[in-house]
Amino acid sequence: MAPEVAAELLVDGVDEKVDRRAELRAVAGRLPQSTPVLASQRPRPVRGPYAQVFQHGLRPGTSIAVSAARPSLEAAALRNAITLAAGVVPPDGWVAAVGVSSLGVLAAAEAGLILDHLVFLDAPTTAWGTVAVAAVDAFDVVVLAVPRRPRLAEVRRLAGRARERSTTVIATGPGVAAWGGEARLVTSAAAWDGLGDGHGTLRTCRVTLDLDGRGPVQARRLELTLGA
Amino acid sequence: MTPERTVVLWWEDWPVVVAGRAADAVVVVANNKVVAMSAAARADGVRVGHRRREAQGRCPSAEVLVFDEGANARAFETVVAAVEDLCPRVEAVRPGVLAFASRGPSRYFGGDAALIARIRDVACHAVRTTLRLDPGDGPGVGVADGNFAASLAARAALSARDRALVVPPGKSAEFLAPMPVSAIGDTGIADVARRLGLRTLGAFAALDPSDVVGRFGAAGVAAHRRADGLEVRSLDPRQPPPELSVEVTFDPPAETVDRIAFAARAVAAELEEGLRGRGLVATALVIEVETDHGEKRARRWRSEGALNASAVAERVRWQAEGWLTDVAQQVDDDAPTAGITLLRLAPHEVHEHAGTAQSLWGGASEANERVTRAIARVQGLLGPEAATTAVLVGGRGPGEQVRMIPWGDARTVDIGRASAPWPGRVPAPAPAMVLDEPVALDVLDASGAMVRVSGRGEVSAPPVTVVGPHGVDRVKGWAGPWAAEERWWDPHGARRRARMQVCCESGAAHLCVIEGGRWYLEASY
Repeated sequence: MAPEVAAELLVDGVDEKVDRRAELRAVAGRLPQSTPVLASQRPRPVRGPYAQVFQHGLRPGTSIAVSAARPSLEAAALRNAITLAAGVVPPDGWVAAVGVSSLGVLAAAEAGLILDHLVFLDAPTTAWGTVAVAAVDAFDVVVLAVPRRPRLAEVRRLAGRARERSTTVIATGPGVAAWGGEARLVTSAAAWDGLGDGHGTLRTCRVTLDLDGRGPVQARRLELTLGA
Repeated sequence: MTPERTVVLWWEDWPVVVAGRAADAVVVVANNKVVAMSAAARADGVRVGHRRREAQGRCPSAEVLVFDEGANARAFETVVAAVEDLCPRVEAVRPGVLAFASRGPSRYFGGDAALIARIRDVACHAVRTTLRLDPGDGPGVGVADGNFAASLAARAALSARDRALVVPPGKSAEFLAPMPVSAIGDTGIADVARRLGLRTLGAFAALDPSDVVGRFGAAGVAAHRRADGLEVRSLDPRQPPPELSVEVTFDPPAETVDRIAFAARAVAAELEEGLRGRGLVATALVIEVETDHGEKRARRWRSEGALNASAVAERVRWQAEGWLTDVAQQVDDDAPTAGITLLRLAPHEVHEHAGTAQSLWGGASEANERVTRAIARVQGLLGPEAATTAVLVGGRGPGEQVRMIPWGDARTVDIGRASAPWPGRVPAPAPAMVLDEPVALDVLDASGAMVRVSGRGEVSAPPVTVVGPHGVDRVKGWAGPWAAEERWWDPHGARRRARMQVCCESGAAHLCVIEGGRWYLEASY
């Protein structure tokens, strides 16, 4: 090969490389900035109807506040909490229901929670913090009823602890407003379908959710079908 | 180092004997699996581990009994005590199985064969006279070098003519060699060995120990030594330092099993923690109690593997069952006469903690243990009822179909009741919120009168409004009523109720129940 031809090829190659680099830089600019994360900290896909809410998955350790816009929608909010818990619990994972004695066990079983791994813990107001900390330390998912007017320091400490222990906390109950949470799901409407005038049975429920939060969800309104 | 000469008594039909049905065709099931059967059922081909349905298929005449762990443990205490009158250092393994070192007793009674014949007689005699039960074919008794070989000898003795088998000293390895590899006591290793074509313990024992440790780790070494008729641990079991024992006092004295079992869970965890801090595990321990009248009772327990906290707590429960029944019934003269004031757990034999660490892949066992500890903490704070799990049972209402069981109690319920037909049961989906106590509520028709349900299950008029805890709500749709007539044969327990689903304009859907002319809100969807 003549020397000049080789030189030309070399130049071509360099040009090409420069082009590639510029191209890559442009692509990198479009990508969101990300820092490497541990596998255990990576968002995990959510199963069931809640996949629509958390489209990019949910990182273990996230706190989610589930509440109802009106007292008449409290049962619908609880159904949301159950469905969400069933959607995020890892296989063979453990779920604690802290202070939620009214949670429907049959509904939990229907949603796909394993009853052997669903533990109900009593949480009288005086011992609420202690029980909640014990649950957050050990379980994979904690459905937590926040009492009316909780101590804010206690709530903050719990949320921090949940993040550190990679425990997903689903907060409900009368004091849920005090629980900030990284995602807030407010049930603003519900409509059951299947009942006629003296005939039929309840089939599915369409709930309207108002989403708000810092990380895993954007503020928006969404309709979900539960119990399908 | 040759293993200690050991006698094992293995009463395979123990649950049948306890049920007092050794002469009939019966199978005993726990969690839908056969755990024991009488001779008649065995002759028809029923085996331990069969599903209940398969057992009934093979032996249709057999009656199915539910396994009662408490009764088994209670009754076996009598057998252990009877054998203990004859030989020292008797160790209970679990209800139906006991072991003891035989060198001294064997010399005293004139040889191994004479000793085990004597032991068999004593055990059967105790069952016949003290418990007044039919011992049936009696237990299998085996003697060999080491606990493992003796256990297999006892099981092999079940098919021997006089139900006793002596493996001569130094012949344990030969005795074990033709046994199937599944007897090794570790299902994981047995499974792999079988797939590798190693079908007998002899074939497994012939492997090079270094290969075994490379493939199976410390558990493999233990299995290999067992298969070779050697002592499992190569090290001398240590004499544990006395400060490792833990105790708990009861004031007022404990007279119920639950109270003792509950306290035992906490001290067993403490014991395990203390041992683990020194890198040790216990394989034998002494459970000792003292009564209010200063009487002392102690029982030694041994386990093939390490005794963890839950295994220890389980054994305390078995033990307490036996002793406290003695208190209540005064079956013999030296039974304790008062409640228990002190419970002490003393590790009797400890080994270095090796190979029983958490599993490689993230460890489900580690998560389970973490959860168990957290629950123990909550129960310690608020009592055993504060942590419960749910079991589905038969019933009509959403609350009646669920039974809450305190954590740590057996999750056993009558099998099949949940799947039985329950006329009047409201179909799925189930309500998300079930009220602890039903709340009074008004279900009104268009004229503002209360909706009534007739004896034939018909509503007086369609419901139009519901006045409940959240105010007035218009009814959008309704279904039912589902009439439930419960226990009509029982004048005190009889209940007549009817349930109705209503779905309201506010978005709420309720399950309402009418009883005695009044409506209640039972649950919300």
